[in-house]
Amino acid sequence: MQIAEVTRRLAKAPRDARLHLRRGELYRRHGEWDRAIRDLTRAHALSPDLITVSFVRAHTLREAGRHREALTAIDVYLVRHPDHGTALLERARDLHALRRHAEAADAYTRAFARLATIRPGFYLAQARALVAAGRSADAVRALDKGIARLGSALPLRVYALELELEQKRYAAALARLDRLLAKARRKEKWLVRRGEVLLAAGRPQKARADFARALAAIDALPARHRNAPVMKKLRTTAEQGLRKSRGN
Amino acid sequence: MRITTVLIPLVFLVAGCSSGTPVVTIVVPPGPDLTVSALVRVGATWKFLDDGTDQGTAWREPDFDDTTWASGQAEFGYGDGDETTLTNFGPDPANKFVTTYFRREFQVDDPAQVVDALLTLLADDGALVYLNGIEVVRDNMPVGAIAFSTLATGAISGTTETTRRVNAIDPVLLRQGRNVLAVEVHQGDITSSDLSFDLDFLISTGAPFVVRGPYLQQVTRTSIIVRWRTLRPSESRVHYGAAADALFLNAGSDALATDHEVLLTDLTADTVYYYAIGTSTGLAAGADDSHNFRTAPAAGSTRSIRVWVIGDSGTANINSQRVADAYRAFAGNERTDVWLMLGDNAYGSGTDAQYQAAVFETYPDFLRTTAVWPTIGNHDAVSADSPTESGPYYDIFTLPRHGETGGIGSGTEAYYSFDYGNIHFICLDSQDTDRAVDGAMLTWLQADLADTMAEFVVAFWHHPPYSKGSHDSDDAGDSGGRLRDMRERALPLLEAAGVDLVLTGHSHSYERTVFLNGHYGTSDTLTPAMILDGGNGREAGDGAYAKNGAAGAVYVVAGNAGQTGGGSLDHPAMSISLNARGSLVLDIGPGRIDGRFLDEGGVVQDTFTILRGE
Ligand SMILES: [Fe+2]
Repeated sequence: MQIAEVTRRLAKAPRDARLHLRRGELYRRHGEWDRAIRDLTRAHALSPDLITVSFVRAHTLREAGRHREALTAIDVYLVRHPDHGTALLERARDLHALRRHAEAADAYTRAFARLATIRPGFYLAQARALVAAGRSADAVRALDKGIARLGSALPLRVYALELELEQKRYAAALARLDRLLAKARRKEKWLVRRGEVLLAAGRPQKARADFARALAAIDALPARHRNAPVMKKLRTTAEQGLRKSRGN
Repeated sequence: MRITTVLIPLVFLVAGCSSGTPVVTIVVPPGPDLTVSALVRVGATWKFLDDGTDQGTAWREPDFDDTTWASGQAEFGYGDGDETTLTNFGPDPANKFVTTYFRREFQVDDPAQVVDALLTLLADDGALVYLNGIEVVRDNMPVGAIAFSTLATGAISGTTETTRRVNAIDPVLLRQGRNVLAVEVHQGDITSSDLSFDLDFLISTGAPFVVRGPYLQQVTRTSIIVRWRTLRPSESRVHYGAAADALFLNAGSDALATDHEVLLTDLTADTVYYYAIGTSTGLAAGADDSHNFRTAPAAGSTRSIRVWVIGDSGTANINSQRVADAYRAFAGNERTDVWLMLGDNAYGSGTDAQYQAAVFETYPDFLRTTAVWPTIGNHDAVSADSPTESGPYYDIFTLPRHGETGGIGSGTEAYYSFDYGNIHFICLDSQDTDRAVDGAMLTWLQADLADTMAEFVVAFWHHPPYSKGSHDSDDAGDSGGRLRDMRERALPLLEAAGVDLVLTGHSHSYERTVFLNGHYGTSDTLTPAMILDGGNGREAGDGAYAKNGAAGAVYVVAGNAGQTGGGSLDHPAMSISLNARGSLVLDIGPGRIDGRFLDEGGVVQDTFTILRGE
């Protein structure tokens, strides 16, 4: 059923909350936020017990960037369905957008406990909320939970590595790099990174070995990869690292 | 199909083995004794009553006396012009009879042998079907008691009128000897212009009927996933081997399922396997020449790879059919190695039923021989719930999360990569995933690009970075800024790693660029320095595009496998822009990529070549 058909039916039954919900959902799919929200708000007013409206309305408000109203709507829904995973996730995303970081981080945790599948981006979001709340150590722990649950979760591993470095936890950072290196088919990117960490950790000799290995790996690449801008940049970084590790 | 099954006693099982009962199956080549038989065929002769009398409930019973009813051949009805037997709607066209009755008897020799029964119904507008007096199908009718005057739930029209709806029937209801089907067809409206009825009723003594697939996913050098759907839950088993009559190997699960998914492992690279699907004791499909696949080539292979690319193909109509037929004719006996779907695979909202029509009923031959690699479009996303990776798109496709097919695991099915031959394919989600450069997807992309040794890198997603078709990549508001985001954020990362070819859809046109590098703004910011080769890329024309260093890529919009969408079609980065339906055919061999745009009439309207100059 399309928008025109629902509009025709609404002309006959203007107080039908389900029709307003239907049309609001259709407008939402077309990205017409204002119209969608108008219909969903009307549906909510006509039939406050039609709880689905609160969920769709919250979702639409969030998509429209109206997070404060979205949060109110999703809280109404959560009173009736306190364990609804997707609704809890909506709430976390609203709190995050409203920069209520600590609450957002906790809300993510509650949502994750109820969801069968969690995308890596949400773990990343939770970690960023924790960092913004000044809880970097908790952020690393949250990322490790995500890594344990997802297995393949490269962005989480990379962010955890960066956080370890910010906290100057070099041993932990090196351990993470070793795991990334073990999994990589091409090692040069991670070797350069490890060289930098070793330099920062005051171990120039080991760093030098990594930079040298990275340069050798880059040289061994087929020209099509060796000449790619990312690899040229990596070569420059490795050469600079090599110089620094020699103390000049 | 005759199958001899030897069950190995469980006592020989090694503890901890979880693969289920080991079964050695010997499949005898297809013979005349097929396991499927029709109890009632389309176009059968039925007794019917169309005199407007209310028959209450007695007429449903098997021993009801219908000798006074008329007899006729299906299809029954009026108003559509395709009826074999016209039925009577009464004296007043504005007040037609609501209900028309039908009965037919048939024989079953040995009901205990029947493992599944399938009733396919064509009924306009609604119907109830009784088997031996028991209601087995309620189609487009309200819940609760049904009277002579009860109207169907809604008048059906358009394509729904001709859609035959499939129902699983419990074989337990079949009796030895005489059985009776009784059907009441109801109008949705007493002024309705038409009425239709026909059905067919099949039984299987082998395995449950397959209503979707088989279809293939995640082919690698050594593995493949086979999926299919039955209406009746059953175990899942794939029998496979080197020839259609030598399916000596099998894999599967004893767990009961309707959506079946079986991973075959330990296969040999670049090898053709034949297969059949079903259970340990019966086959539902396959064991013939049309059910086979080839594994991916071994490392170092120099075989050319055939890729078929369709975008926005989900119209489920004559247009998508013609595009598919043109490729069938073009390919002939040549095998398709890699099949990409660029999103909007099932209009209008990517529901399971829309996928059934737009994918499973449109490409059954490709689906059972070539693994398909899709990306999500905005229409697929309507029914998919991307945050939780659920809904039809995610349920239908089994995509690699953990690097199962090469590349770095993304941890999600929304975006992934795979190796095939010497090509690294990358699928991004331009629809429902955070497109920020420091977001999970583009972080993963950078690591994945830095991890491949492949000779060529081909990336694909739905929203085109450059287009002046039914979508405008210069309009920052088009599709929520997705076209712009992908151009500004994904393209620099891809080009920095030397991407060769980028494929997208969304605009219902064919638009193919010249050899580009570093164009990340709107079309008015295109400078000569960004055009590495402004020719048409044809060896017989301006010359092939020579990729000597890492720079240079071709961008193709091919969202035209189901419809055209017009537009100004004048993006300055394009070598050619066409408002035509068709598909993109790629042949990727050592040192070269050859692309062809094959239109729905079978005419090649564009060719281009990228030559690796090292
Ligand atoms: Fe689209």
